[in-house]
Amino acid sequence: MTFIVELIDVWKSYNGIQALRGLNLEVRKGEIFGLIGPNGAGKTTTLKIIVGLLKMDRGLVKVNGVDIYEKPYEYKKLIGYVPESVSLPDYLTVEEFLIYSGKIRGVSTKHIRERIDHLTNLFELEDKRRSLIVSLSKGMRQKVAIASALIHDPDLLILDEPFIGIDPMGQHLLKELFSERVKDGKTVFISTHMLDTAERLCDRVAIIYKGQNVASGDLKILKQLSRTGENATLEEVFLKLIEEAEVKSTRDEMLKRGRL
Amino acid sequence: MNPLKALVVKEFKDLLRDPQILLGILLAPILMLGIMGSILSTAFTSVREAVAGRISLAVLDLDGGVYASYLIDMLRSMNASIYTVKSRSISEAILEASSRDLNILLIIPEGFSSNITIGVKARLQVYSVIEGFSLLSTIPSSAIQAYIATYRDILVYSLLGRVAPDIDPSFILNPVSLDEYTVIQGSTVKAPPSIIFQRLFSQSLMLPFSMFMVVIVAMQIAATSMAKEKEGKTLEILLTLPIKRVHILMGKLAGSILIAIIGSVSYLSGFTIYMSSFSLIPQEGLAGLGIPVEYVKIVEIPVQGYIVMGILLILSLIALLSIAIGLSALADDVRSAQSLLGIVFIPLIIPFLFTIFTDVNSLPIALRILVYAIPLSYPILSVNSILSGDYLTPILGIIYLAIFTLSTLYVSAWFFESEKILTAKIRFMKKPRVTE
Repeated sequence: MTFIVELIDVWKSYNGIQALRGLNLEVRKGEIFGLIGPNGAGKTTTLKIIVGLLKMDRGLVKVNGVDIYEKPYEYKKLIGYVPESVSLPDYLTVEEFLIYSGKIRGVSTKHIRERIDHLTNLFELEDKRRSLIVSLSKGMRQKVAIASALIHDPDLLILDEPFIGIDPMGQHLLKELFSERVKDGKTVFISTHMLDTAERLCDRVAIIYKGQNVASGDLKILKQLSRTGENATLEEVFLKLIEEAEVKSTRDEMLKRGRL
Repeated sequence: MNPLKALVVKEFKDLLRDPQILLGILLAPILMLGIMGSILSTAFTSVREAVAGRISLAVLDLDGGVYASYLIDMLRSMNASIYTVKSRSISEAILEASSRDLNILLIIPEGFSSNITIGVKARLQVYSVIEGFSLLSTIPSSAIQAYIATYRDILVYSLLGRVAPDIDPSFILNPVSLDEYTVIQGSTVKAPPSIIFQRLFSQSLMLPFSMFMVVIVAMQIAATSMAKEKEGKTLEILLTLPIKRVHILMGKLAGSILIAIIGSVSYLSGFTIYMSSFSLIPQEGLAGLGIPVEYVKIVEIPVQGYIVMGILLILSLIALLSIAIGLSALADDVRSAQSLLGIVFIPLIIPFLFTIFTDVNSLPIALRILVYAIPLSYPILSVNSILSGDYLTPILGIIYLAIFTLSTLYVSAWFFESEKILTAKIRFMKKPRVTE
């Protein structure tokens, strides 16, 4: 099995809060992988460590089989990243921003032109190419942000809550785009609160809670792990696994205190 | 185009098109100061033309004597247009003059000539009709005062000639004259310090003030740009790119410096237009004020002086901009970044105030060290140092600033490399907590 992302026993704390507690995670090449969990579970921290925004306290992160701290710039060429609720430079046109996104990643002018034609067509942004970003709706800006992350055609697209603020048509478009990329052998890694979307879209998901991987796999495996039955939804599986994790966490905490 | 260049171009375009920066920082100075200067310039030009033009006035001669006739003849000979009113009362005479659009009425009272003849002080009366409160409305009155002063001088010389024909009247009027000399840099010139410093004031104040404004504008631009990136999370995207973070810092610095240069040109252009509106005195340099040409050479800033000041300004700009970018990266939003920057502005004002009110070298040693620790002190204080021929202080300043700038760049680069750039969230205006 070839993994594009591997997290092995990753720990991270900031401002006195333990965000990740020995997180283990594998994302396979050519799949749509969903990271789900309640608020504060460590989803965004996980993504930020993978893209190099945050440094872990200990553990190992590999992207395409290589330790990210060994080649801190090289591996970033493989990644396109879209943070949650990103706002773009207001006073650039869509085309200028996409050109900038390509140039700053060292993509050739010819290739940038081709990619802009493709992406503006894909995201239905052709008539907005010369519009200032400030004049676009929130949904359109999100499309531009994703287009900019795809300008260099990355192997791994990482998105933090990509469906927030996007209308149903836009969400449908994104889902189609993600599926198309997977067909081309690329990987899409998203974190989301939207369990129904994750259920329909993702090949596999990981449920994280209090900085640990509670369970991961496709829906079938998760149903087995949670013992919720064949007809259970991801939401039901999620709630069951989180409840069990909470019980385990409380028990562990009490044992730890008892020992002390 | 390499990534760094792409970053600078993007910074430049995004900032340049931002209405807040375009209007507030780039266009407002040249527009506001330019318009104010143009209005003043137009007003002053009108005043000049009015002074140089023909003065029209009404005269009510209640005396009819020889000295009254002499005054009227002299006014005519000085190209004044005179209308002799027919009314005999003052109020009617004013109305009559006004009906002919004459705003000045000169009244020569009865007994004017006889008083002068017998050695009693004679009086004249001038009524000015003001129709509006503008600079132009005072011109006729000022002009007639000048005419009367000339008439008085002629009378004085004439009367003194009669009383003491063997003595030069100018001696009696001014028996002691004063020649003032100023010694500067070992050269002695015949001119009072007040005249020299009046002319030098614009140089020794305008340049530091301009530098101060340039730095303030540049820091605001850089801080706002950085805080917007952080608030809008585009900084996160930037930091995930396969380029060194120090290059991102350099790109932001370069973009801010470019905008700052345009803002400074705009500010200086507006300021120059504004200041030039006050140029009623000749603008040919100090020589225009009667100060010897060789002195002009001594006190004007030479080319090498401008080069030294330029180096000092650029070094302090880089240092202060990297501080501004670093500080704004600590803030959670644009407003907090500007509040943080406000704290930094306070020490920056100090050297500027010293240039106006005192000489830094006269301060106690501790205060002097404090002033010279502030980077902006060097470009600002170097103006006076260079004017007085002292190049040692500015050159030491270059060395200090080079070290300071490298240190701030190093600290900023370290800060950019750390995750503090994303996790630091200083907020001044805390949102109220919602309790459930």
